[in-house]
Amino acid sequence: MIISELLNKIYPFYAGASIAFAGIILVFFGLSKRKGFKIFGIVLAAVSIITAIFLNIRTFVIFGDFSSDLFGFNLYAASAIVIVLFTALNILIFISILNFHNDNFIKIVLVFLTCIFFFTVFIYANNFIMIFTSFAVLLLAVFQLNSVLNSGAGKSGFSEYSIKNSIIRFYLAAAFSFLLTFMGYSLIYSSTDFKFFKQLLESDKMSSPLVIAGLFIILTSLYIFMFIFPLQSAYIKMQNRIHYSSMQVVWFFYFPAGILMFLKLKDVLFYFMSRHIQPVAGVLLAVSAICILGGNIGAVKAQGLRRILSFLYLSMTGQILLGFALFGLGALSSSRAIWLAVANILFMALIYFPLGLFSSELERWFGTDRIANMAGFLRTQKYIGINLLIILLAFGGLTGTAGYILRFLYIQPFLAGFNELLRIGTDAGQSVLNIISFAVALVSWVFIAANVIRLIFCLSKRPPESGQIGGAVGEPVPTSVIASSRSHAISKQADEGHFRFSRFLHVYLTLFSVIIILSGIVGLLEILGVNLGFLNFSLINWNF
Amino acid sequence: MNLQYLVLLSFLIFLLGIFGASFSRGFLSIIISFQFIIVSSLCNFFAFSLYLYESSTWDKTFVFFAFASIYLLLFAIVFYNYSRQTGVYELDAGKDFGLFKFDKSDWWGEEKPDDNQ
Repeated sequence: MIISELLNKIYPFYAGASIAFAGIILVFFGLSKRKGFKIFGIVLAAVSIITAIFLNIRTFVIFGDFSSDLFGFNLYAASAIVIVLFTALNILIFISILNFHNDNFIKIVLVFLTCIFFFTVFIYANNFIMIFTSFAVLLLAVFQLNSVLNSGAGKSGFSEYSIKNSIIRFYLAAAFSFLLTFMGYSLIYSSTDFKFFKQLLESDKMSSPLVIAGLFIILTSLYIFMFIFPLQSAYIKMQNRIHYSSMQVVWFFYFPAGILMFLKLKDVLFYFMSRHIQPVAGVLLAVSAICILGGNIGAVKAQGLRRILSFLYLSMTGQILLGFALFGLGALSSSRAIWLAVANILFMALIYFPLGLFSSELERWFGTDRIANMAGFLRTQKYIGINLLIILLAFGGLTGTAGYILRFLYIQPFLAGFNELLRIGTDAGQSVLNIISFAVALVSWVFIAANVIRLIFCLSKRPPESGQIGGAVGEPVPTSVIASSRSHAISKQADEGHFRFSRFLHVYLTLFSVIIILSGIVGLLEILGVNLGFLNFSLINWNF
Repeated sequence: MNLQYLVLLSFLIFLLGIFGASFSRGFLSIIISFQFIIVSSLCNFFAFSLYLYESSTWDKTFVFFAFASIYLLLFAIVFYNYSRQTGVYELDAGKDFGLFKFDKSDWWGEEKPDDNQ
């Protein structure tokens, strides 16, 4: 009875409570370096995350929406928390594999659990104070996790000074954007005395210059926070230097926090869109186009896999913004735009985790992550090669994979109402924006496909002769003698057909390939209107 | 002193902070520029609440939480920078923390290893 009452009182914080419980237990083992305790820490963290996913879904189905002065919980929040927890589970795998021998391993897991906890609090938050404070503490926890994960050596070829410098630059820029958010809040909050964005919408102060200036500063701060072009320098440099598990933390804790912060402003954005369609949608479209073009052009010339993925991540951020621009232009519903934002984060997780693990093994074996090192894998490493092919094709948007659904849904409104949206009507400005947005959606598909074809070409071409694998002339090469001798040894093994990736990588890639294909087929059938009869839920039509 | 002057003062301090954060390359200069932005925000909070809402307490609550979190974050970054005892002075003297500087490799091609950018 008491437990039941207690559980009712803490609704909807079950996910956070599960994570906090694991963290509290793990504190007692924080100083230990024993292998047994490390394994216990991994198991405890994994069980708490899986429990959190289950409780989050189950309790939302039973109890439904929740709202209070400080927090809110609805379908969107429940979906976002599930995605964050899913990505957290995968990051835990990365941390466990790549840092198990670190003396501070249990402390790393503790900081990692702190990150997840504050991420859930941030998603629940709907009051100005809670949004701001949870965002700050989340950023702090992510910074701590990144710094502790990079306490040892990073990518070969870069000094410790260079790695540390890049991390500081990145987080100074993040702190700068965060301070701008503080400034924006100071204008909105102090000139209205409101505590929620909803109050703003219901009042007559939305047209106040101070409120508009505050919102503008907050949106600008998000632009800096997301390192959108031309401010990408600190992000690209850091991702090229840091530890692999740390890269995943940036991709799936840091950037999603920015995207979710943007989604917290969606009602205000929608309000301005309804009144000033062309300027607001036009700016969003321009930013989206810059991200898509810059990300893809940067990736085309890059040789390292982690650098290519880092650029393409920015391109995918552009896709999310494109969804909101399309909503502003009336091509998509608000639910679909939010669905696309959430689905894009999940899709990136489905692509980036397997590719990230593959890239880390590639770098471990060959000393560099150059894509030239995976040449011929479709012939010499057939199982890995085919799985990579599936994942890359999905990234490129091939029909029947998860990537196709995401790419197609941007084009669909134009195909469905081709004569309506793309016709030059009475409002020429609106028509031009419609045509540009269609072109951006199409170009983003083509550009990413082109980048992916480049990688597939690399996979399928003839394997290099012995001694050519590893660093090439004019490219980063492993500086340590050990790394270079290992790369040479592996290249010989590869030629003799003995070179093997870890068994775990085989399982991991297979799992993600299966998810990508299954979700792609279900989505495709839904788009085609085919009902198989045994699926009683919709994959693409969510009412956010 | 009226609200208009306070707003102008706040805006001026804010611009100083933005300018410093955007163009400084030294670690300490950037941190000091951040302090300008914080001070400017505080001016807004207290000036408006004093002139528009005489007895607002929420702004103080906000400022309290915001201060705690902002200073934790900044302290963490400063601590991380100075935690490694080696090369403390070289780090700041190097002045290579510019937030928005970029070079060709940020747009096109590959970086050279260990270029210390």
